[in-house]
Amino acid sequence: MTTFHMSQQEMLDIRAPARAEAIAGLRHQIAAYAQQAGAGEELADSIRLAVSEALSNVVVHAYVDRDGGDMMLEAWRDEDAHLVIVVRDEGAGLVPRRAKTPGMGLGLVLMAQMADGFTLCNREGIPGTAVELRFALARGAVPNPATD
Amino acid sequence: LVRVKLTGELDLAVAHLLGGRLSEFQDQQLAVRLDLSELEFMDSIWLNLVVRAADDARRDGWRFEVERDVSPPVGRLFELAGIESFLWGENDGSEPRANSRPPDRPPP
Repeated sequence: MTTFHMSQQEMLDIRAPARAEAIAGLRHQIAAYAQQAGAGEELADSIRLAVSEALSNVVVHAYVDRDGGDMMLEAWRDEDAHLVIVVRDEGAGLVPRRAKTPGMGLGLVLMAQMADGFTLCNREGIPGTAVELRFALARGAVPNPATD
Repeated sequence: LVRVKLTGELDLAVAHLLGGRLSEFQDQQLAVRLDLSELEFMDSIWLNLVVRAADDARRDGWRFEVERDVSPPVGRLFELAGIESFLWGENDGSEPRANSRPPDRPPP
């Protein structure tokens, strides 16, 4: 069981079909959520790119051995003023395979570069992969009386 | 010269749109200049398409250029990926880099 440290801002918790057409909508939602949490424009740009890369990985890699599945996007602001974002799937997990990678593998590099914390792992006890991204909201933060 | 202006958001969902078209231009040896100045979003899949096109151009003598005046999100993506010098060389950036000798290998 995961324990969440909630701030006043409600946690973002979305499940959507793992299809390419769904990525843009989720990307917009996480950018809006990040800005509500206090992220500046440049940081929100980084967050939407990193999340888009994580979601693209789910669409391209997670369900290659079956007929589709879902992708889950969760986000919350922790007590240390970090935005924590988790992208999960219920696919095959991290397994060696010869995969055609349309992004040249750059997506993982970009996520690691942009985030202040980046973890990619198999989910514990259940099938699938989880990507956790942490962003310090102090990077380009804007005052947000609603959440501070 | 075909000037291709890309607008909106470019991600996995629309990745098929550019690759095929660029291949057609390359097959016909039509010079292409890409305008990314009003692009709101670009991901690594599109970055890969641009890098591959630039690399192909240098190998095959096809003229493919990216205008230096890119939108802020695209500029940050290029900077993160470290491909600015690959696309534009070390000049002052006032003009796109002409086709020249390919680098030893594509950028990471």
